[in-house]
Amino acid sequence: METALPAKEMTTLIHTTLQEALDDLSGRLEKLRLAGATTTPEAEDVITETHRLVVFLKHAGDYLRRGLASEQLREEMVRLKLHLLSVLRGLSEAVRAGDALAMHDLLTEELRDNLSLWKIQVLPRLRSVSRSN
Amino acid sequence: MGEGFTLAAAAPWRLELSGDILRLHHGPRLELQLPWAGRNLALMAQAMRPEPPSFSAPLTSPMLREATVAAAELFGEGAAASEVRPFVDQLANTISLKNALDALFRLRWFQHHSLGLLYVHQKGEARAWQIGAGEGPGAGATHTIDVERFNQLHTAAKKSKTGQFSTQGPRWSWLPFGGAFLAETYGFRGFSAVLLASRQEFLPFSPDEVERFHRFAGLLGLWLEDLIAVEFSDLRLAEVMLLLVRHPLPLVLRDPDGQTVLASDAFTLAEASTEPLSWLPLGRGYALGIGEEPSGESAGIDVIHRHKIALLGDLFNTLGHELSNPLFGLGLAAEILIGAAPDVEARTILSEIRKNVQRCQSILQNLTRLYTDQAQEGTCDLRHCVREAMTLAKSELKGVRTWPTGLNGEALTVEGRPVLVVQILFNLIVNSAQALHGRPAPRIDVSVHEDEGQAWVVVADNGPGLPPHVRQNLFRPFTTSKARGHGLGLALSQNLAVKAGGDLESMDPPEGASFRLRLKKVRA
Repeated sequence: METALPAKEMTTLIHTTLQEALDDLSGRLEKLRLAGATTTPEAEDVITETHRLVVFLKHAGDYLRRGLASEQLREEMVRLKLHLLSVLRGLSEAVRAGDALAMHDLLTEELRDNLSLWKIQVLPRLRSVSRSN
Repeated sequence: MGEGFTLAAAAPWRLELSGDILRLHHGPRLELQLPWAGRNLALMAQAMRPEPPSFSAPLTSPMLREATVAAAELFGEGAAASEVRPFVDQLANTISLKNALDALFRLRWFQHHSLGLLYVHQKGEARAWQIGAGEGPGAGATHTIDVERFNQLHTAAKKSKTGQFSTQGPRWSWLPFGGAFLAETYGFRGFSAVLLASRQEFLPFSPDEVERFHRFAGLLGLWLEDLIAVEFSDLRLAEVMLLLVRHPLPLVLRDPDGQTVLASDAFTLAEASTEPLSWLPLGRGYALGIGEEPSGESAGIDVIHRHKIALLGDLFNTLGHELSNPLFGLGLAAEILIGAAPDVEARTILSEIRKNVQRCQSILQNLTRLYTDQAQEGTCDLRHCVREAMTLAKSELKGVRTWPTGLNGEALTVEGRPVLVVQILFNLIVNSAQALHGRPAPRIDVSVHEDEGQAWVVVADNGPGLPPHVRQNLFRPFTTSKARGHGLGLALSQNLAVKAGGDLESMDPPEGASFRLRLKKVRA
């Protein structure tokens, strides 16, 4: 995430990328829910995309730690990221064990809730940070 | 994130797809950005396929296969073959939200549900759309509801475990039916939706019925994102298609069978010797191919100008949306004032205002209908239409001698809605008048003719005539001989003429330009 982009553009980029990623993942999860299918390759794609989201969040967090975002926002992001990591861990174990029920619960309940919280708790604050910088 | 970027390069040009956005770069420069083109292009291409749906689409997605099998298991093997699979195939082969909804409620297990409604809300809009299935109450017509009501319904349905409700009590009194109903929610990027089914009776649904509803509503949901995208963007997509056809790069859109659905002029010219260098997958098996940059004249075509034209689609939509309410208010106010007008003069002026408001409303409606396949039914007096078009074009005809013939006589009734016929004639007369600017002794002849089955109007001028390069593609969009023209007038006029069951053609006279609008006569 080392870049020559000005702070305002960088924060806007983080906001936009996070929003797109959350929308994309939510859409995939919604289709899995509607299809009632959580053990298909499409479900594994969701896990891969969630991994990518976590990597992105790590870089975004590093950048925002440089005093750009409020303490409250950073804490919220850390809290949600930890929850996301625990969901991912659970998903990996469920895939290994072939536990369809656990997969279903983790994808359609836990992961879905986590993504909603990013949208409600983080995106609006991130947006105001990008506007104020 | 998500599907990431997919690139198709034919240096120095580069095509890039990111979600719904299709971008075209020339070297480091972004030349063109089409916000609706990405995934939707494949959907439009599917709609353009000449053959009817084959109902044999392979279930390529494992998720879809699993969902279909699960739905079929609810009813046994026989039902799977006779109903479930055809239903899934219909969903795969339609791009109409209404057709998909009708297909769901035509299923044997839903036939006793006399009502099926879908509410769709686009993010940021103050109202949500209501679309009805079949022929039942609220069906066919499309209405809107307040977003507060939609949110109330969506939240309640999302929180409910069974999705079963009753209209008893004030909470759901605004729904256009009474009794127990089932609800399924959908939430995708940019929109959310709720599907309702009701038998219009107060007996609750059995657990089997509830499961069946959610299973099939889920199957519908797998296509909902695409269907809604098309439903709310067809005009924009039509513009995108036109833009691609006229693009100076060799671009070709092919279907899953490798058949060409759409090709740019540059590709058609070069196709004998060149195959596209690279392919950009658009989804649903469709791909956009990009060829080598052509050399010579076509390489310098103004891409930005075409981009602006593509935005016309957006403009039509916005105009329709933003102007219809004030126009309605204006018409109503004029109507009220006519009743209270103190004298004949005031009444005449107000009547003129009301008439012109109605005309504006008709034009707006017609603009939005231009890209639909609906026939433009109606009849009109051709002579009256010519007179009206000449009156409307009066300001353009200053200094031009007009020579009308065949305008007197009995009403000459032809097929075609008056507003559309006047619009075509108005376009032709204004085109001629503009071509005559600065010419010596400018003159336009407008003549009406008829034989047994047809009637036609010829609009001829003594202007410079049509340059050969314009004549070749006269009725193709974006073809113009004017320095500042959009090149849409004749294309739209021909489109309107065909929709009215007639035709419009250039007569190729020895001097000037001449066009003939032919329409079917209506027998008394």
